[in-house]
Amino acid sequence: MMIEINQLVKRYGDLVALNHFDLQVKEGEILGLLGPNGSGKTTAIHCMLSLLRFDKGTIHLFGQEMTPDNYAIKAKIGVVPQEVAVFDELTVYENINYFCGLYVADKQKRQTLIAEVVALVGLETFLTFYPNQLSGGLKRRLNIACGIAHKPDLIFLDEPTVAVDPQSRNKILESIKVLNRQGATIVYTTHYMEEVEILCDRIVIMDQGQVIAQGTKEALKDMVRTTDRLTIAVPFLPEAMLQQIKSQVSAEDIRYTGGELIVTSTHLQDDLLPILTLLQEAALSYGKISTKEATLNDVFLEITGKALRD
Amino acid sequence: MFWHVYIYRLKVLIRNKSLLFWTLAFPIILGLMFVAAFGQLDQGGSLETIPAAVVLDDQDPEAGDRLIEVLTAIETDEIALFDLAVVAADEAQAQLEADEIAGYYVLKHEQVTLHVGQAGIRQTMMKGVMDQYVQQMALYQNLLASGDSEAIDAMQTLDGPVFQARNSEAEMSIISFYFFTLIGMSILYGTMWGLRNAQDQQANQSSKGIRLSLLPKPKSSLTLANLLASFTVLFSEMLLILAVYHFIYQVDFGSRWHWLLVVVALATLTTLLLGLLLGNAFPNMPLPQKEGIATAVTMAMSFLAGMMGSEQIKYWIDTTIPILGKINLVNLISESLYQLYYYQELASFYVNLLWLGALLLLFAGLNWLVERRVQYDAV
Repeated sequence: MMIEINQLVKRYGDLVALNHFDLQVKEGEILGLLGPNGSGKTTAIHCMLSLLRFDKGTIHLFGQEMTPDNYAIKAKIGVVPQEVAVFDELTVYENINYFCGLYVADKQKRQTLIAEVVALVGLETFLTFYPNQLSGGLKRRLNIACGIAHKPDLIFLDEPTVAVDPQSRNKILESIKVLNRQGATIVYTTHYMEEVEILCDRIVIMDQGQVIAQGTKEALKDMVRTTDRLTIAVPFLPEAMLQQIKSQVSAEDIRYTGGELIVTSTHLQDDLLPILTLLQEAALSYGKISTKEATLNDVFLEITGKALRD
Repeated sequence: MFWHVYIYRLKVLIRNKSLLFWTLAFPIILGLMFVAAFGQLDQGGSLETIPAAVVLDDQDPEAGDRLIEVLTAIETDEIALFDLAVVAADEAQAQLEADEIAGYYVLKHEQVTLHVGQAGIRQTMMKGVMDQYVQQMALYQNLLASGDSEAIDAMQTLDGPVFQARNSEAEMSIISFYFFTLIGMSILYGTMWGLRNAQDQQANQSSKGIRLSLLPKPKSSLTLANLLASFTVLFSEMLLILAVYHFIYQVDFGSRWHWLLVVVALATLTTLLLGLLLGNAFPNMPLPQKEGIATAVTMAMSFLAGMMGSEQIKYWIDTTIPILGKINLVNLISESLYQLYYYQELASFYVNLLWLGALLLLFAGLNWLVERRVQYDAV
């Protein structure tokens, strides 16, 4: 196991930030840590990094207990904090060189690593720029480069794509996949479900300092009764026909609004054919048919009773 | 890693234009204003003889004779420092109120006290003489008690030079007195470099601190490299400021430059550690607010050290709660420079140096306690 946390408790006065929190991360995995604001994601990461004292529990990284002076473990970790953590007084190149140099003393080796990471995050043309000359997205890429330039085995990315443009976001996600392919284990916290769906092998959903669900995205969707949605464009649908469809199709919800027949169901594949047959028999014309699958956001809503960005 | 951090910290610090302005340009501009405001003070040349009085209220006539002998023997540029009269207490007070004398000494039960109506350079000099006299007499009494006849003889032969008013190698300059405090204030502005170090290296103060707290080496090496870099910057700034004051503004700092540099170096390091401590003590306070507090503390220390026309406050502190003067870094620095410039005998200067060293060790110890194997309650 790359990370093993057992029964971790962290209190801030009366507030229990982590309530017997358990977590296991395998080597080579991309783990998505999901949860609304204040759910304890960042606190959990800071405890893992030995930045925060905790009240109870154990944390093992790379099979060893994590302590503030376990420098062997620290040398194998890379961190990309939530806020951009670079020096405004240093250029892009100097920032990366500075942070990389804290881990890699050999100048020649460092040059190679810097060239690699600069290419990975796409900052080749900005090396002499100062951070305040960069856009928000480019700053985020620099933030990532500074955290991973030394090629760590375990990388913590704490909401690395907050407030970035789509181009930078794609570049960042692509970079993370490359890092993972190169062998890095990644713990990724975010508010963006779509990123987790694209990136993560496994997902842990946190709320109020506890793990409330975990598994692959498919497993999570299967855990809850999530529904898909079918939309059929029907220019004219008499009320009698709507009632007939409702009586013959066992969907959760069937509505006709704005020239669209909307069917919400857990088994759309069984519902579509009977509906189309009824419309054809009544000689009612219909147009575009579209379906929308349940998302992790729907899963999250079902489990926690609140939207992820609450 | 140490030199890697040191070099990059130097780059970070010297590219910070705002801090460079407050710690380098501002003292130079302020110095120019001092020259414009007080420059004419030196045009009169040597300091005039100070009209003063002595009130002898002691059973032991020998003690009175000894004090008068010492006071009348003190000269500046072969001119007696004091125009001295022995009078009764009532008369001395009347003369003081009529502004006929700068102050008067009272000798009672072998204790010397100084009475002044206002505070100024003449009164400061009178106090300097009294401090030296009291110090030397205490030493003399101790030697008598120990029975060390060789040392007693040696001391008796020193009677004259020991009580010289000032270091005879230096030309008397009144404006120098104001610049000593200004130098103290300039060094204290260096707390801002210390605050910046704390901000950048503590995980509970900045995201950079989070990254730097995960170093694969003891955090102390980073702290020391950052401290050395900020010391290099602040000490270089002070050398530049001293050079501008001396060579361009023609401020006289006397001839003991080696000691002056020791004071500046020690005070610079102490100030940086104070800034670091303030930064560590208030982790949740925004940096601009901390800088505001550091500036306010520096101005308050400067005021209590006699800058901004507050010589009376300084004098009152020196005579009633001297410990306050010893923990006031601006006062400690300006007084040390004053003693170097003015005193022949450096015993009290060494005491000040010890105070500076003690404060340095105190701040270093407290910082060490805060940063040792640091883990935070909240990040």
